[in-house]
This record gives sequence, C-alpha cells and structure tokens, in this order.
Amino acid sequence: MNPQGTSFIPQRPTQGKVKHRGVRKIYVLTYVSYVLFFGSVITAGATFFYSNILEGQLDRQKNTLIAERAKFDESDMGSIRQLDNRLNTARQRMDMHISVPSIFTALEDSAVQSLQFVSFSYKRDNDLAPLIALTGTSDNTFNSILFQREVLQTNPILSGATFTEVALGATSNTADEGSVTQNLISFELTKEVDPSLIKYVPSSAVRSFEGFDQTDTMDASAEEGFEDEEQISEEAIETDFQ
Amino acid sequence: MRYSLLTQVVFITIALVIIFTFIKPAFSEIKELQDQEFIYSDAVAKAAQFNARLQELIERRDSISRADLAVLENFMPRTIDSLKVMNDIESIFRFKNIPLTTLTASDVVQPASDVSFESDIVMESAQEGTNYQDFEVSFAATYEDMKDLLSIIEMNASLLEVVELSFESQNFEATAVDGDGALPNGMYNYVLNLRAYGLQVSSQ
Repeated sequence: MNPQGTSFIPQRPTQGKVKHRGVRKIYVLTYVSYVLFFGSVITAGATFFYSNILEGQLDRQKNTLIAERAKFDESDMGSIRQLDNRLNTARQRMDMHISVPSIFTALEDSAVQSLQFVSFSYKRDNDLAPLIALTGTSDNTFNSILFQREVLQTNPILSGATFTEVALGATSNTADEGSVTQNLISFELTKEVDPSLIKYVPSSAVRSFEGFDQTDTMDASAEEGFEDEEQISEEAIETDFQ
Repeated sequence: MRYSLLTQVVFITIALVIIFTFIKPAFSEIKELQDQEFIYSDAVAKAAQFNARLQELIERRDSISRADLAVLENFMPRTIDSLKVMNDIESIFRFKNIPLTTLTASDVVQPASDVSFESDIVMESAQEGTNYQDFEVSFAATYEDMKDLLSIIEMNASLLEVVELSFESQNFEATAVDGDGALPNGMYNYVLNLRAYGLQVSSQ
C-alpha cells in the first residue's frame, strides 16, 4: 500500500522547503582582538622605523653641529671683539672730543673793546660740559659790561654766560708821570659751554682715519691747516688780555 | 568556540603587552628625540649663522689695512706709553718753537673692575675699559701761539684732550721767565692739563 498512489517516483510532500537562514554571528571581541593585535604590531613597527629615522637625523645634526663648532675659531672671535671694542671706544672718544680753540674764536667774536680780560680758565671733568671762567675789568661804566652781556647773548657758544663778582673798586695804575688812581669795575664771567656746539671737526688727517684710508700723521696736515686758518679778531682779544 | 576565545584573549594580551612594553616607551622616546632634534637643528642653524657672521667680520677686519690698524692702535693704544705721549707733547712744542717750562705726568687711572658671575663662581675679570693719564704742561707763549698749539694738540695722532687750561695777564701775575723776572710783551704763562687715553682689553 503506497500512500502516494501508484507512482513509483517518490514525491515530496506538498509543503515548501523551509530554508534555514544562517545566523550571522558578529564576534565583536574577535574584531577588537584582531584590530588591537595587528594595530599594535604595525604601530610597533612604524615607531621602530620612525625612531630609527629620528636617531639618524639627530646623529646628522650632532655631526653638523660639531663641524660648525670646529669652524669656529676662538682667537678670531677674540680679535674681532677687541677690534670692535677699540673702534667703538675710539668713535666715542672722537664724539666727545671738543675743540678748545673754538671757544677762543667765540670770545674773539664777542669781546667788547672797552673790557679787559685778565685771566682765563677752562676745566672739563669726565667728559661733561666744560666750564670757562674769565675775570676782567672795565675802566668805563657798567654800560660796557651790560653791552658785553648783550653781545654774548648773540653768540650761540657763549649765550647765557653769567657775570658775577661785579665790583667797583679803586685801582692804582703806575704811569711814567706819577701815580694815577683810576676806578675799575672788576667782574667774573662764567659759562658752561655746550659740548655739542664746540665739537671737534676732524681735519683731513683724522677724517682719513675714520674712513680707514691712507692716513697722514699729524705734522704735515697741521701745518697746512694753520696756513689757512683765519685770524679774525685775534688781535682784539690779544689786546684785551694785555 | 573555546579555541576562538582563547585566540582572542591571546591576541588582546599580546597587543596590550606590545602597547605597554614597546609602543608607549617608543612614543616617549620619539618625543624626546623630536625635542632633541629640534634643539640641535636650532643650534646648528644658530651656529651656522654665527659662523657666517664671524666670517663676514673676519673679512671686514682683513680688509682694513695694516696702516689703518696702526693708526687706530696709535689713537687708542692698549696701554698709555707716558714717554711716547711726553715725546709727542714736546714735539708739538718744538714744532711751534715754544719752550716747555715744565712737563709732568700723573698716575694712570685704571677703569673700574667688573665682577661677573659664571658657573656660580664670582670672577673678577681683568679690568677692561678706557684708562687715562694726565700730563701737566706749563709754558710761556703768545696768545696766538697758544691757540695754534691747541689746534695741533687736538688733531694729534694719539688722542690728547684738554682738560684744564689757565692763564693770566702779566699785569696781574708776572712770573719770572727772562732775566729781569718779567715776561716779554704779549707773552703769558699757561698751565695746560692734557689727558691721554688708552683702551685696556681683557686677555679673554
């Protein structure tokens, strides 16, 4: 008794084949472990190579630094430093160098004939402004001194000069004919001169030194300089001192 | 299943071991190397720059002629040679035909010493700076000659600075110069103080 009838071909039951869906298991831990493992291995390799590269670079830098240090010559450095120091000091001294004759020139330009200067002193301490002091007399009136003060104000080097110790006193002058008494006004003139106004202007000899050209010594250029020098009012002040 | 779990645990363990025993120290080492490399490259750049500048200065120094260096040495000598300065002064006076009455030299005034702190040791370095020496000159000359003298002195090859000058009319003070005790007409007695400078350099 065949339940399928007479057919000798076996027949499937009519119900459809049920496909069993495969369950996809996601093993997170497996992925994590793989990522960690291979990541750590790759990172380890990379760091190893990178540190090797860095060490190589560092060695090259060290060698370069040693080479640069070998190029450095301490004696050269010392001589350069000394030369620089010497040049700077020389320039500073030149900048502070002032011309005393220019003070006399200023005095000659401003000296009033009616006054007689009897003494002169100049003093300069520690590169500060030089102080000049003159004593003098006037055989006229105070007007001469006032006039002298006004004239001095017009001279940039001597403007602001102060008259002190002004006194009227009797002074006897001995003349051939006998003793003559004459009233004289004595005074003291002081002035702190601004060094920038009487700065020494280098002559050809010193200029060539500054420019590092061929330099002549003092004597030859000095002679030339004096030949050209103006003697304006020199006689006037010389007379005043007498 | 058990085999798979064991593999995962082993992998994770190995990874952790690699991370903590190799990668982490390696990162620290790399950071240190990078820092050192930065420091060294900076030092190399600075050293190269310094050497280039030094070389440039050496070339500039070498371009200065010996004659100019001699002028500079004369203008600002290392030590003040008082005999040489006195000889200079005498030469200037001789050049102007003015007899010297007196010429004296004072002591050299040294620059103040510097104290430096190096390697926690207080070191008093060799005195470095400008030193000077004063020379007092007295002479009798005319006003015009005195001016000429000052002009020559101020342009002398070795620096001479006028620090003091004084004179008086002979009416007020007649100092004996000639036989009868009075100066010739137009002559004055001058006292002049000149200062010579030198540059003392350290031996370093």
